Amino acid sequence: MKADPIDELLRRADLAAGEPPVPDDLAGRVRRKARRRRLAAISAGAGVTVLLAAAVAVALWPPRPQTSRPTAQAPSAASHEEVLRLRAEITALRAEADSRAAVLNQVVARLRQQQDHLADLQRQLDRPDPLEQVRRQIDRTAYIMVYQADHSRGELGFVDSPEQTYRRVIELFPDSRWANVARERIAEMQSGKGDTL
Amino acid sequence: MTDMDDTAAAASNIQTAGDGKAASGIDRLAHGDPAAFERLVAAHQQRIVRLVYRLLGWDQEAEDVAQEVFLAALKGKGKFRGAGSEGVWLTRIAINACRTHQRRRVLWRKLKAAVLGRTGAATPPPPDGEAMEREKFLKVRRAVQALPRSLREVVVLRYLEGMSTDEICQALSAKPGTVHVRLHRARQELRDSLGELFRQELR
Repeated sequence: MKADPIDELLRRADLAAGEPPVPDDLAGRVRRKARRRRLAAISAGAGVTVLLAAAVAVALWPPRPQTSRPTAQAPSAASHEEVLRLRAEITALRAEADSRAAVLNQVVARLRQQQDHLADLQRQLDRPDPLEQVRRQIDRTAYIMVYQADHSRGELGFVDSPEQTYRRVIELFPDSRWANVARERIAEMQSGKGDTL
Repeated sequence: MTDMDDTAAAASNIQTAGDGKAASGIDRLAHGDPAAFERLVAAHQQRIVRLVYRLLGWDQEAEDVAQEVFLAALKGKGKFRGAGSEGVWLTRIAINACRTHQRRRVLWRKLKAAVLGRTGAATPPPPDGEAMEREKFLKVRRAVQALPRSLREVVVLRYLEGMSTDEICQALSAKPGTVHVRLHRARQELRDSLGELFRQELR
């Protein structure tokens, strides 16, 4: 008997959806929920009762006879003087605060200037010396030329082109340490000692 | 009367004439055995969570609704008649809880749409070798979700829960003829909505 295609399709789709997460301690959660709901119901009931009682009390309470409102008394001369004195004091305090704030701002501005200056100096110190950089590059170039000349002489057995390269190193970088090395190599070649580098 | 009370009432009013199995777990719970509820949950939680998950359209909110199911069972424990199995009783409560949840969800969505307006479409996952297969099954699940509630329930109970017609009748309080008619209509609608996918399965 052929399986029902809808049955098969539905089962596979259900399987593809994955299993639902089954919570731990479901019974405990349900009990807690039941307790919370019971408490909420009791609280709501109590609230309604209190409101009803308040409404009844307001409705049954006898209205109080209206009394005339007390009129505001005119300020006395003494209190007027006191107000004036306090105002003057506030103005003086405000002026003092302003002057202190101005001094503080000046100090802060000066500190900022000094910090900027220090940062400039630090940047200058951090920057590498360009002359030193050039010297390093020269040294490296001379080294590479000597190395290549050594290689072509030792590995490949050339004679003329290495000698030319050594001479070029002496010519281009006469003060470098590699110029001395190149001179030694030329001397070796001329004396016939350095055939096997 | 609240929705929760509806579910609890459903839990209490169920009349089952099923397998005649003694509902000892519920009986013990009704007679105040403190461990009976834990035993009842442990025995049925897997099945109930899975049933709720499927009835809600494979929704991750199944856990919350499953809690409502057992809460309703706890409330309605004294009213269980004991004529049928506690499994069918809980199934009935689960179906009612899902109906309540879906009613709320529809209302909430309408309210949200009215307040916030339409939201943007979700970003699809990057395509890979299994993307087509995933898409196919997603389409099937959507087709089930799109069925009317009465048809969706019989499809889930019959095909995914593997329940017999008798059990479905007890769970839905429906006659066998009604269940058969609903199943037939559900199959018809699924065939129509899945179209080509269904024909591929037939080949």
